Amino acid sequence: MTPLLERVLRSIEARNPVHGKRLAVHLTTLDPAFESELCTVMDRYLLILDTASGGVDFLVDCYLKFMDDVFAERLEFTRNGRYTSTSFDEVNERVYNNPQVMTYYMHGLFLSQLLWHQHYRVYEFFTSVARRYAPQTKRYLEVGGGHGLYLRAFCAAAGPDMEVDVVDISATSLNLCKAMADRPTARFIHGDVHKHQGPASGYDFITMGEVLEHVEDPVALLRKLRDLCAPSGHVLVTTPTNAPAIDHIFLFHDVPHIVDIIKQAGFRVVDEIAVVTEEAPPRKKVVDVKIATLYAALLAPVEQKLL
Amino acid sequence: MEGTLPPVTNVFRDVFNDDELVISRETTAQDIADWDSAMHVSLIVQIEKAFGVRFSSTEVANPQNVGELVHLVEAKGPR
Repeated sequence: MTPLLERVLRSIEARNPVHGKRLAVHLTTLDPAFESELCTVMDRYLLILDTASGGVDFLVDCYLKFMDDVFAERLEFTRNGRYTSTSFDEVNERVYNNPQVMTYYMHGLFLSQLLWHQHYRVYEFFTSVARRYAPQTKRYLEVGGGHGLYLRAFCAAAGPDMEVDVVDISATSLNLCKAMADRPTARFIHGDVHKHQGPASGYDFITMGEVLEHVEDPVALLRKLRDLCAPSGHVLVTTPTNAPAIDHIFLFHDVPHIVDIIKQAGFRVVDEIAVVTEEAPPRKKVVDVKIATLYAALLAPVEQKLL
Repeated sequence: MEGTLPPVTNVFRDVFNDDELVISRETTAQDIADWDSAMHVSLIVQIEKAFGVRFSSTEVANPQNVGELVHLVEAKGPR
């Protein structure tokens, strides 16, 4: 394990042993190539962070606060089977418009992207798709770029002339994406994707990682992506089932539930991966834990029939 | 209140699917192979059900050992 990763893991283990134990299982079996990439990305992220913030220790602090929230939400979800927030306005006030929460949440989320096995597997899936599609992509859109990890990977696999638009409701996310992607010609648009006007011929490729669970109406959001996507284009979406978080609104019960919503929006699934993130306890008499899965799918628009 | 440990042990045996599991107040997550952050949530909810108590997340997020959980159950006064 690289010294940077070792330091992160030991710091988490010292302060949250039960969680550190779970991470260690995954991190000690990482593919060396991915571990190297992970450390490159983390180094870059640490450079972007204000150096006065405390670097790795600050990042771990944020992650552990984020994990406290995850634990509280999962506890409540296991008790009653519902997410604690049900409307966008609610999470907007609770998270997105709360700079104190948003800061640790964003950095914690970033570290989870690097440390959780489900994120690793889906990122692997994403990069394999990016290698296939990015070289011929002329117009790329990313919705909810978050920490910029996917944007960085897609841009790295694409040609230098690819036009890039990133739309996000969070200015913090956009700034991070900008720094992570290092793509001077990219446009970073602060706003709601429902109001976004894309190129007339549509985008060749759209990525939307872990956004669907943050909205009240995922079908409407996917329909908007369908409108923005070129007829021959593709969309890559990821979203979890049974994954309580302080800003998750829409509860996907299982993978067929997600696929049903994808089809309602006028897409077909070209390729997909589902990574179980949390198994149920082995005994049925023990509390009924809903299976958490991270799902990713490459989609193509279904041809519209002429009326 | 040493009487709380045996029923807590039963919950641990159910959650970790091990009828032979022996725990003490000094047992930590390091001593039980499957006691990680995912199973911890199931463990806490199962203890709540078994004893008719309700914990706040901060109380049970990161217990040092089984004794801390037993103490919490006793402090809340099982129904």
